[in-house]
Amino acid sequence: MNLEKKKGTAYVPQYRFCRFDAAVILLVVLIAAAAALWIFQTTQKSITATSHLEAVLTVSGEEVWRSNLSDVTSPQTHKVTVSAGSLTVLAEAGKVCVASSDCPDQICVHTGWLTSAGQTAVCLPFKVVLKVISVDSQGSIAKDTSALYDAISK
Amino acid sequence: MTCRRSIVSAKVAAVKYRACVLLVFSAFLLSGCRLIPNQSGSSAAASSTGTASSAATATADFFAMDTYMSITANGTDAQAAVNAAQAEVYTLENELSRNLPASEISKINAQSGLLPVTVSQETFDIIADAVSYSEKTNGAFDITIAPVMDIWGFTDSKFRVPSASEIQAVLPLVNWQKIILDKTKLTVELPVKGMALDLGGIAKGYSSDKVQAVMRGYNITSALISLGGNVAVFGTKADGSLWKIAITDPAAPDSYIGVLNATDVSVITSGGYERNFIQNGITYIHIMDPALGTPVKSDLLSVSIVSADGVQGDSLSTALFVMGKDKAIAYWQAHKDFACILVTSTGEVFASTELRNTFSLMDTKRSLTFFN
Repeated sequence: MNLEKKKGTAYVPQYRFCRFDAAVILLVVLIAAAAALWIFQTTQKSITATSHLEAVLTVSGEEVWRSNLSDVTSPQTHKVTVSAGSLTVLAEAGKVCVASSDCPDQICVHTGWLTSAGQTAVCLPFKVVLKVISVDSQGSIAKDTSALYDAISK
Repeated sequence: MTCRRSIVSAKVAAVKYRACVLLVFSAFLLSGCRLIPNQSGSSAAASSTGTASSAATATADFFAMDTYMSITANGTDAQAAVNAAQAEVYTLENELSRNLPASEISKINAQSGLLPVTVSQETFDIIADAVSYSEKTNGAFDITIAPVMDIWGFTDSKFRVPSASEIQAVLPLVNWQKIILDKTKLTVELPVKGMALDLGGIAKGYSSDKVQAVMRGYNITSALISLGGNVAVFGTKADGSLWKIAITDPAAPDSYIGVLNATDVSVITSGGYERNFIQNGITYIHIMDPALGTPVKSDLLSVSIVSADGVQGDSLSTALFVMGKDKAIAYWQAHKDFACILVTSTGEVFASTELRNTFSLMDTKRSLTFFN
């Protein structure tokens, strides 16, 4: 604030903190808090409401089955058969696994339930990959920033 | 703003001054408020705006080296980088796989007890590296373990428990000290008939180092590489944060024990929880004790090595698992050129001290001890 100097001494307005000031400060704080809350809530909503988990099953890179895991109400199974044998996938609400496989090593079965985006169960002998992805309302893969990890070391 | 000498104008100035103070104050509040969606929203929105739109992301998922691989790169030439990385993995597989008859490793194995085999500089260097880790770990890591893997059926997944005499018959073939390397002629010789090399414990670690080197030639700002669970990362994520790497819970492989925040490292885990078979109620794991010719009976369920060097990570994750908890910690104390996370059969977690600020447990009730 550029206040003129008056005969060598600086002009400093004298005032006391009054009720009006408190009211204005309170109002500003309330508006700021309300705005913050509103923005926070809408952001949260857009993250949780617009994406869901899907299970995707591929054989040699080709997609053969897909299921929206948030729509699964009763257990679903899907069987795929390759030249060397067959493998059965089990989907339940929010989770999916390889329930059984004729493969010799059983690594895909040992992997157990997949419950979050980015998890995979892989059957090497059958070249089968069961993957869980997060899909947004436009149907493209959602960048699930709430994910707890980017990769799994195993 | 000018100020006259009258009392009225002084009052006006005082009010204006007051208003200015309030405005500045409220501006602070409002800008603070604006920062909230910017910060929390950046993680949600950054992928579709800003950095991500100028730098493309590309991913390749494929089967190679008897495992499932996923390579993701961010940068202007991301697709070219990922394609080159995938091609590099296939090249290395053709050189190093024991299961491909035309590979250099197969040629060395076919000539066991017969002749030295001339190999490429790269294959020679990998074998020399493997031998140096055998030496450092006093044989806990040994690439001549192949004949033992064969009799337990881990090579062709026709699992079986061999007899004690069968094991005794192949044990003399397992000895890294018998490998004859000729640096000048670039030859590798296995002097005893039946000896065989299996680079399974080092090939993926080497490949992840090589893949990173290849991708760095394509203007890549960051990458996430998973070669069958051997994870390597470089650079940071689009929002500038570190990569989060989960460590599988060896007692419940569908969940994980904790998360490591990291960049420019490989995180390589060895454990018996994935490749194993059960016969008469006994679980036989795929990691063999080179001294006994039998699956390792360790007080550890898994070992994760965090290191900038994938070859070191791959070989030491196996070696420290074979050693067991006390010897593994002693090895770390003697070298301290890597970090590690050990999970014991009782579910306790031991991590080397440099991970204190970057590794955290999922279940905070679990016991975690950092050692020096």
